[in-house]
Amino acid sequence: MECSNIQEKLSAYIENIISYEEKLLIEEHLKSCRKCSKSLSELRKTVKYVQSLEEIEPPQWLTQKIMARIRSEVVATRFRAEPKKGVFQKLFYPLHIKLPIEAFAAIAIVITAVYIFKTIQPEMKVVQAPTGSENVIAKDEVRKQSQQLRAGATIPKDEIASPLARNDRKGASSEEKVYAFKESKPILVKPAEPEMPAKKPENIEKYTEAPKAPAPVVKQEKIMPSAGAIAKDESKREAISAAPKPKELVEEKGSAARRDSISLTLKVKDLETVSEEIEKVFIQLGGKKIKTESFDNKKVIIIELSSKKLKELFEKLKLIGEVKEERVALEEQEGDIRIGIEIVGISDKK
Amino acid sequence: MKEEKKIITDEDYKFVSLCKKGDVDAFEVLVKKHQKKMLNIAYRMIGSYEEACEIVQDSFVSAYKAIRDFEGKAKFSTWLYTIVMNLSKNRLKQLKTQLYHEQVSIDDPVLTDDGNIKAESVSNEPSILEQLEKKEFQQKVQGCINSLDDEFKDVLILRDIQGFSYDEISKMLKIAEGTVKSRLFRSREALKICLKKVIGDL
Repeated sequence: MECSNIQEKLSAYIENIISYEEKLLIEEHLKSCRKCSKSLSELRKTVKYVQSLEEIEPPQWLTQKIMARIRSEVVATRFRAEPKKGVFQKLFYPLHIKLPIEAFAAIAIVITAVYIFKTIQPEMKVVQAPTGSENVIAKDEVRKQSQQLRAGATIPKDEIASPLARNDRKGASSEEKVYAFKESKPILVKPAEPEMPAKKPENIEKYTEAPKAPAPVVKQEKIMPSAGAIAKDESKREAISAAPKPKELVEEKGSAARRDSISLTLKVKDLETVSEEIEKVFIQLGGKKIKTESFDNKKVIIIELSSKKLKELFEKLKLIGEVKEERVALEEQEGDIRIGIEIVGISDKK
Repeated sequence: MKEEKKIITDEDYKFVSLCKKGDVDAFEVLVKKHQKKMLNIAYRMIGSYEEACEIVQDSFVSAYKAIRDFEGKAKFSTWLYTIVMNLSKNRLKQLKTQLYHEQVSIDDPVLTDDGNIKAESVSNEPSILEQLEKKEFQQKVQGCINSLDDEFKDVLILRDIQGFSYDEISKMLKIAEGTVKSRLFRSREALKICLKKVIGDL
């Protein structure tokens, strides 16, 4: 056996963990080899030195420090692993569903947004509605005044009422006059266009300007409302509505102006649903809606419709409510006709 | 059967099962019992007392966290020392990358706690051991251990310093017993050469 082989096994030899045969071989070799004997003694010393290394003592605080760290670890894991413990958690997480706080935040924001939206929306309605109702009320008052003061004729409102009254008298009783007046106002707005050939009939906004042309009556009326206690807005409206009336008068007188507008009054119970129905009817008949104005208890719809479909329209309107035709003399005409429909709720009538 | 017997003979088993139920005080018993050996293993591996203390703390904390996974296939102490060995080796790697120093040749001065020790020339004086203070000598031995490669260091520490059996060492380091033997031989030889250089003739 060579020395290198022997020396490799010396490590095991000193621990006596080699086979008996190997042990004998090594011992045989060691007797004759000084080099390997020296190696063996050196190895024994080395191991002895290493084994003689004294144990070091742990510091006093080591156990405490270790346990402190472990106890804090335990607390941390308990919080993580057992969140259901404790009254607080049971109260606030009864369903054992883990939802991220973001989810609650998102829902809260949505609910708040909807709530704010809902609280604001009605306010807007309220703001709009009063202007309409005030107008009507104001007009009603004006009407009453005008009726009372008709004899005097000093009040300009009277003038407004009187032409209408004349109109109504032809077809309606004196009682109906009042309604006719009310209803006719908006309707009359539309007819103004045809009378003004110079002005574009489609432009509704020009109504306000239109009145100037017709007759002194219009001017008079315009001035009067502003003089009265009526608000500016109202005065405008009055002006608009007042303007057409004279035109009608003119028409009645047999002016050459082509008449392509028809005024209808429809008495119904439910204003909103009926107006929707009427709109459907237009669309069915191929009509065009031009303008819609709503007031407190009435709604005015201005449409354009082929004259051929006029009869059909009347039939359908009769199904919806009580129709009062104010002017139907123009059936023989061709082309589109402008029709003003005033829808009045019956329930609110006095 | 053999393993069952081991479980029964493991004197720590009672405390370990208490720990698994969440008994922290039972773990304290185990800490007190094993911390010294843990510290010694770590110290021999790292060569620094402060670092060794840190590693022992970390080892016990990881052991507690993982105690439910301890199946009792080996002794609890063996399992515990495996943890401290692994953490020590990781720490050594960290330190080596932090302070990169060239692989220590056996002829080079040896690093110890006190700093560099100059390689001493071989002296023929026989009473050299007596002249050395015991502590100083031990520091030189530790310096030589520090200079060993990690894989030779661990078998030497576990076998010659801690006195574990080959079987235990092969379980701890997850290497075959034959590998333990051959590594042990190499590390002893390396240490022998180192000691010769440091303290002269053996």
